[in-house]
Amino acid sequence: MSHAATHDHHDDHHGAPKNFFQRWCMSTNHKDIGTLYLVFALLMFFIGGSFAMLIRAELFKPGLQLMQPYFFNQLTTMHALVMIFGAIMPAFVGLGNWMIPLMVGAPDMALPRMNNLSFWILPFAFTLLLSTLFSAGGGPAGGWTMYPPLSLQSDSLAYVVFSVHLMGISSIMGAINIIATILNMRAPGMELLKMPVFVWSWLITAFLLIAVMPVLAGAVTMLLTDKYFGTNFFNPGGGGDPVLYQHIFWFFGHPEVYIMILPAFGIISEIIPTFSRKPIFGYKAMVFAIASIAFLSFIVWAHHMFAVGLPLGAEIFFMYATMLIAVPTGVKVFNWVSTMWGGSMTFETPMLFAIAFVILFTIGGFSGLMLALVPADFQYHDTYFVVAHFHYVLVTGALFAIIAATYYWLPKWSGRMYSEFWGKMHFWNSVIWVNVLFFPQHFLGLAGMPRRIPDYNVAFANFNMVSSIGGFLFGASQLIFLGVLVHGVFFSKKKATDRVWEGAKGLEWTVPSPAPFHTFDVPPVIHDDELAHGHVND
Amino acid sequence: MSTIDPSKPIRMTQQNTSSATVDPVSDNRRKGVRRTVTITAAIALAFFLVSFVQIVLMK
Ligand code: HEM
Ligand SMILES: [Cu+2]
Repeated sequence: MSHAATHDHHDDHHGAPKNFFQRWCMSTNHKDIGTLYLVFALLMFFIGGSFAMLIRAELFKPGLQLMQPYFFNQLTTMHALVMIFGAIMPAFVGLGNWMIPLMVGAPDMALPRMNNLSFWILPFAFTLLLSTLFSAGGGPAGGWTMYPPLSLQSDSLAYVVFSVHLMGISSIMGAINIIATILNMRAPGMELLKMPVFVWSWLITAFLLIAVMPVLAGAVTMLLTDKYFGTNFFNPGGGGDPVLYQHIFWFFGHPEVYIMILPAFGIISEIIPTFSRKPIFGYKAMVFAIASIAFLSFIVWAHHMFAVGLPLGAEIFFMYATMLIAVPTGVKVFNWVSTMWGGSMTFETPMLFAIAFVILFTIGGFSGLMLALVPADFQYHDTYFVVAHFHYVLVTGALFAIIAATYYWLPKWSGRMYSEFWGKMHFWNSVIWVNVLFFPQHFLGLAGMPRRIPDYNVAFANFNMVSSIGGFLFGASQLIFLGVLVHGVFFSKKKATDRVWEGAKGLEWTVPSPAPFHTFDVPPVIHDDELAHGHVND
Repeated sequence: MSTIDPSKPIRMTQQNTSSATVDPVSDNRRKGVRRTVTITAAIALAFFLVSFVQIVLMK
């Protein structure tokens, strides 16, 4: 900027630093850090995706084709760790970083320097984790759940534990930052019950994170001391109990799966009203549904352990508690459909992904309900049915919401419109092939094919081949996404307007596109008509 | 209904390494942020420690 020479200190008016290192490595700007998170998540998505391609290639035919079983086990473990902690979670944090200050009218996150640290821990954590694949003993191979005693056999355990600690610290700091921002930095007039649902979903998710990431850290710390420091937390030979690990892990693990879906609920609750040109149906019910799902997620963990031999009372308690989650989840699905009902809908790419989310996430919810039935789960547990379930909720759920959010907000970030034609190509290819990929896995599971194996009975050959073909094509379709992104960020000639979408409401659409480096240095004057939920209390 | 008077802009400045904020709005926010961080960090620490206590309780 021209007057930069007269200012030798930082102030509110400067633009982005010109120096690359200054701008990206030293950043305290929520938009730049958001971009870093999103680019990192995209990179991890392709790395984790390449592991998935190798897994599906091995499973294309029965028998061992391409790799040794031990390497296959490393691939399934790494695929999950990279996708969960490297792709889905950082993508949501990136979206939160970019959009929460814009949505509540804050100049930045509450703790900008901690924000920088939260991000820059991640590349180190994942370099460490991925480097174990090249070590002599190979990477972790005991599954992302790291159950002892199996996980203790791996030589890379210490590296994995340290990288999980780093990811945990990063997530906890990120969550504290988000809570501090939402509770303290809102512009005057942005009352809690006028906030966008996306902001609400992140506030609640952040509380889940600060409650359960430390528990994961505790669990893996005990693995470490069991292996290297002579403790016997999980060793029956020394009076410990391996099942205790499972309790602690899933006390983290089940809320964790909701950490990966609640921000997605928030995103869908932004997109559907915009393209239906109607306010969301039942705003308060949506907020309370998210809160009650979050609460219930703490009392259902043992549904992952029905087959370990829990007392009958516990099996029944966890079965009913789990089924109870279907109630608030049903409220959400009902309200999304009611928002669309009678609206003047258009079907731009973000809306297509959002509608696919509502339908396909619900399929995952139904298979979840089947798994929640104790006697049925004795049959389904550790089969491909579970794999089908969680890929419907995570790929067509969490991931589709992230993709929808990217198309929805990209014009605000870059100032350019992406190509609608190629966006739709990406959508139709994704939605077709993802079903070819995962739907047959339900049948494989019901027929008894176990998860996490490199070889299988010839009886399962046909559905596996179909699934692999779907997998390769779904993977290839994501290259379209990459192309649309590069074009939409750097090359598109079509400039975005400030509002971008005709039906869009909320503070984020009142700033220019692309959003300037600093926004809301002076808090916006809030007109309730401009907010999506400005009149909920009238 | 707007809750603030547009003719009197309120400063909401970020504190940074070279300048502290002085206006009352920023000051309140700074105290609020500090309180939020203290409470949330305490919750995180408590859950970390409880994950070990659970071991003792469940045996
Ligand atoms: C509608 C509510 C849901 C119910 C009733 C439900 C139920 C279940 C049950 C009972 C299992 C254990 C199956 C077994 O191992 O035998 C399971 C596994 C799983 N669920 Fe769900 N689920 C629901 C929603 C979700 C959501 C929203 C996500 C994530 C976004 C999710 C992710 C997972 C994952 C990742 C696993 C497998 C964990 C593993 O063993 O590696 N579920 N679910
Ligand atoms: Cu669960």
